[in-house]
Formats: sequence, C-alpha cells, structure tokens
Amino acid sequence: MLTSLLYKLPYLVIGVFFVIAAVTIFLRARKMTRSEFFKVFKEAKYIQAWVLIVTFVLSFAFGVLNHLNSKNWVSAVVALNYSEASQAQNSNGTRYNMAEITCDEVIEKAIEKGAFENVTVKDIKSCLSVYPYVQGNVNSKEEYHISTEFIVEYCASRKTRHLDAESVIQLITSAYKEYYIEKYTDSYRLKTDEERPDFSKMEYMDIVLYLNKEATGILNYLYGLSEKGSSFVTSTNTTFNSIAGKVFQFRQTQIEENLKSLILQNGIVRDKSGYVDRLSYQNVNTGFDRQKHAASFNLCNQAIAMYSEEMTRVVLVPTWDEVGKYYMGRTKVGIDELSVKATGYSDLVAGNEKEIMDNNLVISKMNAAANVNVNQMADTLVASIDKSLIDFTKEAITAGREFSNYKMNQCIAVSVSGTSLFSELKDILIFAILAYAAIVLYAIAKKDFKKE
Amino acid sequence: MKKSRIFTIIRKVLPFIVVFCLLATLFIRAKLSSSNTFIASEVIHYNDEQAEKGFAPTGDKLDVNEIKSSAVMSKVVNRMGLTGIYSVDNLISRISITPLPDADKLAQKEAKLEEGEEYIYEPSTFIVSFAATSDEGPEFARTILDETLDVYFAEYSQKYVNIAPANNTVDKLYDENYDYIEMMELIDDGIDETLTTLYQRMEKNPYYRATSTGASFNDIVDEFNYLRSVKVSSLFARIYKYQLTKNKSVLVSDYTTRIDNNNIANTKETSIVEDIVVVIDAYVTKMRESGNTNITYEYILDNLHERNLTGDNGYITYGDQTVTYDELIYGWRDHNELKEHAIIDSAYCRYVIDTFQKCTGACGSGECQNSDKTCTELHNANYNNMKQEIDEEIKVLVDELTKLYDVTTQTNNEYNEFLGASYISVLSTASVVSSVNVNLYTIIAFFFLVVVCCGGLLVIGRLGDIIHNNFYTDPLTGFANHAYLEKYLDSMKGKILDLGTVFCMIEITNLPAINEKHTRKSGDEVLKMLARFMKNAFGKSGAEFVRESKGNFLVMANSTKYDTVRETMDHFKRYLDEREEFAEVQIEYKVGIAEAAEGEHTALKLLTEAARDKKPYVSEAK
Repeated sequence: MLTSLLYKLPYLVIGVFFVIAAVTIFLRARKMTRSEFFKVFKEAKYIQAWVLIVTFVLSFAFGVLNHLNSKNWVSAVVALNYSEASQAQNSNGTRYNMAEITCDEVIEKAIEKGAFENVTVKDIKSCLSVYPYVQGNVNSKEEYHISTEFIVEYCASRKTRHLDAESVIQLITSAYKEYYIEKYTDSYRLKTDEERPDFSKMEYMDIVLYLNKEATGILNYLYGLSEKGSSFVTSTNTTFNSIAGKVFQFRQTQIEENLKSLILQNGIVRDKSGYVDRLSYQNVNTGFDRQKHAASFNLCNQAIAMYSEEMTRVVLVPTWDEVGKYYMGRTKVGIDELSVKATGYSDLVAGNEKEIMDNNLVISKMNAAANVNVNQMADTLVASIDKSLIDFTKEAITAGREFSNYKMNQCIAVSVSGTSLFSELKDILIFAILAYAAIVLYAIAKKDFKKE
Repeated sequence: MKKSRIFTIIRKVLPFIVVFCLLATLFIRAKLSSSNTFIASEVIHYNDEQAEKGFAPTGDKLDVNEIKSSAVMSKVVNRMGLTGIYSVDNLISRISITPLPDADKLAQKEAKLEEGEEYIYEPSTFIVSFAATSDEGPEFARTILDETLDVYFAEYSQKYVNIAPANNTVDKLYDENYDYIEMMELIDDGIDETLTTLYQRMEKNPYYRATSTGASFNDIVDEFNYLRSVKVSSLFARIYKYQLTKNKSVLVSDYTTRIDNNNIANTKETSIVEDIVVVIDAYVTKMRESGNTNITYEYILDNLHERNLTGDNGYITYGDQTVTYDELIYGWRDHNELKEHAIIDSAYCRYVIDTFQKCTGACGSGECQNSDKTCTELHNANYNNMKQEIDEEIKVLVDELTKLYDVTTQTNNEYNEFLGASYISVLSTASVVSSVNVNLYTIIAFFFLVVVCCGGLLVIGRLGDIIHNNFYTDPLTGFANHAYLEKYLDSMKGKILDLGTVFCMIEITNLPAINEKHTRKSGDEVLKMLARFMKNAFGKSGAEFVRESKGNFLVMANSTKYDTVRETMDHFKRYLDEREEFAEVQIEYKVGIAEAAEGEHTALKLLTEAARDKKPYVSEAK
C-alpha cells in the first residue's frame, strides 16, 4: 500500500511542476502578443543543469519505486487446451467453473508447496483475482463467447508482501493444474495394499471371483478409453484394444480356466463345510428365485393360451420409423408382448438353473476331493495372477494417462507475465521525458516571470 | 454590457471554473462508482427438445426460476462460505432470468395460431444475470453466477434426468433392533434395489467413469455383486446353519405373520383374477357380436399413423397403443403373478421358520421344539460367541457397503453434473459489465459542468446587462446615467482612488439654445454625435462614460495620466471642429480634467476638481 502510494509521488511532483508552469504561462500570456509569446519559447534555454539534475533525481526515485511496486504485482494466463473447453466444460464433461482457479484447495496446495509462512488461505485469496482474457457480450448473439483463457492477477497486500509475487502466482497456477488433473481427468488407480484383500484368509473360489472382478475392472477401463480413442497408439506401440485383448485372454485362460479348474478339480477349499453351506444356501435362495421366474413364465404362457383367437387379428399400418422413414407396420397384440416376456422369464429360469448346477458341481467336487495338498500350487498361481493383474493395471493407467495428455494437450497451459527489465526501463524513460518536459516548462515560466 | 466583456469575464474566471468542475467531477465520479453495480451474465440453452414445449425431460413443467430457488442458492451460500454473511433471499433478489425467444419460431407460432392451429413454443435460451454492488466488485458477481449455475446444472439433472435413486438403506443398520436374518434380508434387498438402479445407469452410459472416484457404474456393480456373493451369502449360510437369532419366538411369529398376510392377499388376488376372467369373456363376446373381430390380414389403415400422442397437459409423448383386451390379459397375468409369488414367499417364510425350529439332533427328546431357544442355542456352548462374531461381521459388511454407497453417491453426483452440462449448454460464459460506464459519464459530467458554469456565467452576465441597461444606462447616448454615477460615488465613498485615475468633465453649455434653435430632436442628435466622438477619442483605453445630466458628461479613465487625457480631449475637439454632420450648429462646451494624486483623492473630490478645472471651448458653425 505504502509502496503503491509512494510510487505515485514522482508523478505528483511533475504534475505540480506542470500545473504551476501552465498557470504562470497562462497568466503571463494574457498580457503578451502572440509573437511575444512564441519569442519566450524561442529564446528559452532548454538544457539547464538544474533541470537535468532534478529530472535525473525524480527519474531515479521513480525507477526505484516502480521496481519495488512491480515486484508486488504479477499475472498469469491460464489456457484450457482440451476440446471440451470450447463448450464451457471440464474434460470430464461437467460444467467449467473458473472460480476454482483460486479456490481454497488450490491455495492451500500452493501454500504447502511453497512452504509459505505467516499467511493464510484468506490472505492470499484476497490478493488474487481471476477474469476471462476475452469476454463476450450476452446482448448480441454474434458476440457470444466461451472463454477458454483466463487471467489470474496477484497483487501483494500488506500481509503477503514478504512473499515473492512471481513464485506465488507460479505455485498457484501449478497447484491449479494438479488440482484440475486430479479432479477432472481420468483417475483410474491401483488399489493400495490396505485396499487389497488378504488372500490367505479367503476361500479359493472367492479369490477367483475377486481376480475376475479386478480383470473385468481393467477391461471396462480400457473399453471406455477405446470408445474415446480407438486408434490411439501408445508410446509402446499398443492400443487400448490390444491391451484389452491381452487382459481378456489372460482372464479367460489364467483365471477362468487354469485357476478355477485347478481349484474345482482338486476341490481346494479352506473351510469345506462353511463353503458348501454357503453354496447350499445360494442354491436354496436361487431356487426360490427360479420358482418365481418359472411361475411368471408359466403365467405368460397361460395368458398366451387363453388369448382369444378372434382378438389376435392384425392389420397393417402405414407409419414411420425412428429415422422418419415410412414403412408398413403391423399392429401389435398382447401375445407379442407376452411371448417376449415369457422368453425373458425362460432365460432367467435357465440362468437360475445353471447357477444351481454350477454350485452343485462345486459341492460335489469339494465333497469328492482327495486330501492331496495342492493348496501351495493354487497359492502360487493366485500370487502370479495377482501380480500380472497389477502389471496390467499399471499398463492400462499409463496408456490412459498418455491418452489424456495427448487428448488434452497438457490440459492447461500457464504463462506467467511479470514486469520485465525492459518494460521497467521503458517506464523510466517515459517518466523521464515527461518530467523533463514539465520541469523545462516550469523553468521557462519562472524565467519569464522574473523578467517581468 | 458587451459580448466581449462577458467573454473577458469568462476568460478571467475560467481557471476557477475548471478547478470547480474538476472537484465536482471527482465528487460525481465517487458517487457514480459507489452506486454502480456489476452485472455478470451468462447465456444458457436447454438442449432437450421438450424444453421448447416448456417441459423438462421427465415431462414435468420446466421452471427456469428454479435457478434462483432457495434450494439452489442455499447450496451456493454454503459452497462459498457465505453463511451468516449473505442471506439467501438477498442473493435471490439479485438474480434475473431473461428469456431469449427464437424469432423464427415465434413467427411460426404466431402464423400457426392465426390459422387456428395449435403450436406450442417456449423459449429454451435464457440470460441468467447476477448484480453485485460496487463494494462487492465484478469478481463476486461472476463467482456467484458461476456457482449458482454449477449447482443448478447438478440439481436439474438429479430432478429431471437421473431420477432413480441409489440410496444407502443399510447405514448403521446394526444399531436398530433387527434380528440377524432380518438384517441380512434388508441388506440383500438394499443391494438388489441399488443394482437395479445401477444397471439402468450402465445401460444409458456404459463407459461413464467419474473422475472423482475413478469408478464406473460397471465397477460399482461388480463390487456390489462380489460382496453379495461372498460376504452376504456367507453370513446368510452361517445364520441358517447355526440358527443364530436374537429371539426365536419373535422371529417365528414374524415369519408366520408374513405367511398369514400372504394368504389374505392371495384370497383377494384370486377373487380379482376370477372377475377379470368374467370380464374377458364378456368383452370377447361383445366384440364378436359387434363384428369387430372380423378383421382380415388384408386390412390396411387408410391414414398415416401418428406415433406420438398429445396428452391433456399438451405434452407430446409416445402413444400407449395397448388395447383394452390386452390390458385385461395383462391384468389377469399380473394378479396371478402376485398370487404365485406370494405363495413362493410363504414357502420361503416356512423355510426360515423350519430352519430355526428344526432340531439339529443334539437334543434327543426334542426339547427345542417347546423352547424359546433354537436347538443350537440350547446345545452349542459356542452359540454366544458365534452370535458375537456374526454381529461384528455384519457391522464390517455394513461399513463396507456404506463406503461403497459413498463411492456410488459421489460417482452419481458427478454423473449428475455431467448430465446437467449435457442437457444444458452454455452459449456464452459469464461476462461482467458495469451498469454505468463510470469513465464515460465522468467525462460527460465534466464537460457538462463546464458548459453549465460558462452558460450560467453568461446568463448572470446578461442579467447584469439587462439591469444595467434599464436602470443605469442613458437611452440616448448609451452611456451610464446619473443613477450609475450616484451608485459609483456611493460605492467609492471614503475610498482613495488609484494613481492614474483621471476624471474628465464635458459640459455642453449652449444645449438649451441648440434645442430652441434647431429643435429638440436635433439637440438630441447632437448629443449622440458628441457621445460618439468621445468614444472615438478615448478608443480602447477602457474609460467609462457617464451622461450626468442633460448636457453634462463625465469620462472616468484608469491607468492613465492627465496629459494623456488632455491630448485625447484635443482629439475630441478636432473631431468636433472637423465634423460634417450638424455643421450648421455651433457647439459651446466646457472641459475640466483632474488627475488623482497618490493617496489624496476620493472620487467626489476628483469630480469637484474636474468641475473646477472646466475651461470653455466653442466649435463654430460652418
């Protein structure tokens, strides 16, 4: 505050010089003819020692204060480089909100990164302002504009003057970039050790389910990426589909065939009674579901059977389809829907029965298993599959990040613009010229006055 | 007063006017700035085609004023940490929503209405604005508007697009007094409902992945299914196997009641089914008798069939083409289904009752049958430990599910924001303008003030002129009159005149004779001529001329000398002697001149001296 006030002082001094000179000259000029007036300027001494000295002193003071003042102010341009930005959206399709550039989380992160002392989030926030680089005009359709570049300004206050302005703005923009990537870009992640289950306490068949689930998760992630960029090739010359193909194959052979078969055929189980009880319960439960689905199936069939033949007559209807093309439609009657429903229930019944049969197979295998100790083999295979899945996850994440970087072109670009030495020198030069002009005018006015 | 005199005065006071105007302008600028408001505006457009009919995607009436509803604004206040600083009503009052109708569609609507056709069109593009005071600044306006629309987009999606809930119904379930099997049933039902909702989400957007959780709906479904098939079924199996219950009697009674309720419901359903069969038969008979069943496959409807129908509320929807007969058949099927499912539910209840009542064989005499306790409870010493274990495991399961529900909620919230942004697009991002262009108005105010001041000065000057002309000017010669002289002498009473002040008195001594000889009119014309000669003689010396009485004149000159005035009067005499007009008139006159000495003369004294100094002159007739 004090610096910015002092910064205006040299301007005030030359302003005073100019006003005094102008008023004096104005008053004198009223009693002069035009030629006399011009003569004063013609004969004036434009290079005088005291004028040069005063100009130099003022310019020096201005230079120092200008330098101090410029240290407190800095700005940066944050540009959004991804395609969704032009629709005022974040890269994940949600609405973009530029106020987040200076939100509390970002400032907190910047304070933490810069290890700033004796400042709070509120202190720094009060020094920051954000506005669009170009803003549209809502009153004219032609002037609508979606801003994708924003200026972040930092002007140090009394509480934050001890911080280097350029560092602050650099840390703010860098923290925002991190915050943005964390919040709005793909964030498929590897499970931490705490999140991973302890396989030694799990039933082997549950491990199969778990590994299957993990493999499916990776596949879903890759299929999602493939939908966005099926032709994208990573730095290791792979595509999402090629990685997905590997994972799919791995799931089929290693988990579904090798591991599951090993467990099933050898009846590998930690708590046979508990596991068999669980499968039995599932069978009972599925049995009730099967009964319900079978009842619905039968009812649909009965409804079809009781549907009167006289009411099943159909007629042709000229109509148009979803894309607006004409075709001859046929009126639907109840039996159409009932048949579809019946088929659906039949599928469900079949699904339930398969589930029961699968469980029964597992139960029979468990019961028939000889006490050959193959657990060690299964454990080794589980560990190996788990490791492979972690590797696949890492590969998928790396490919995803590469794609994000490619698609979003680094997502956000930041350019910090403080006051350069050249621009400071330019300011000083302009000031010096103004100061010299004002003081010379003052000198002329004074001399003329003395003469009178 | 002459024009030049006004401008002379204006020129003299111009610096003061400028200073005054500058100060006044500064004041005006301060006032403008303090009363200025910053208006942030954004243009949004509802993409859904129903919006142009005035409806939301669900078919509900689209109310854009929901943008400034208290539900939205209270969330904005919370998000921005403004609780207690700003009231929700205060912020709501500052939001305005202006529709931007499409001109073509409006014209189309008017044309259709003129033709008597129905045409529904409602604007789907709106300008949403927020006004902030000058103290709050433009950034505040922009931020509030941004946050408001952020919240609204998510609310819109939640209310009109992504409406099926995936709520956590099992949170802290173990704190309630449920039996183990009931808890597990509630958990299983909760998972079932959640999965149904999640499958709907998956179907609409199979690859949607929330960046906040890193999870897709697919992933969440897999997690729920995994927990269900591993942990839920394991707990169920153990509860059944070890007959774990908090109270056997209550449990058995509960499931017996369920069977009774199912039986009652089934009686009702059987009756309904019988009635429907009667209606179906009657319907077919009537249709047959009326000839409506004689349609053959060659029959083709004449008119193009409209797929969409308009409901009572004007909402265009896909037509429900289910015929009454189908409805009767579906009714028959649905009621039978309810009946059959109730029978299966009763079978399940009996299974539960049997499971908890059956004797495991540990009690030889079947004492468990008549006991409040299950067989396992009576004979397994480890029963309480098992109950405790189950309790703990249910807690762990519920906590795991709660975490999963949190992920689901977070993912769903982001999905809502995503849908909101896809259903409502931004056409122009928030731009801020001030209600008043302070700089422009400040410049205008400055120039206006300068013009007003100068104009005022002119008016005042002219007013002075009018007064002077009416009261202090001699109408014949245009000189000041006697009243002016008296006023002047009064104002100068006791004041010493400046050095260089010279009074010159001129008296036409033969004026009565001229009037008599050449008519009064000629006398007046002679006086006018004399006045003109006086002015010519004194030129631009700045002297003031007074016609004191009929033929008496006084010239008051400043910054001059006695000799200068004497020389001027010589000029005057020459003018008079060399005149061509009224040459036949002899003019006799006296001239008296007096100069103020330093610190000695008052105006009256100098006037007396001038009168005393009078010397006679004659300008002969030719």
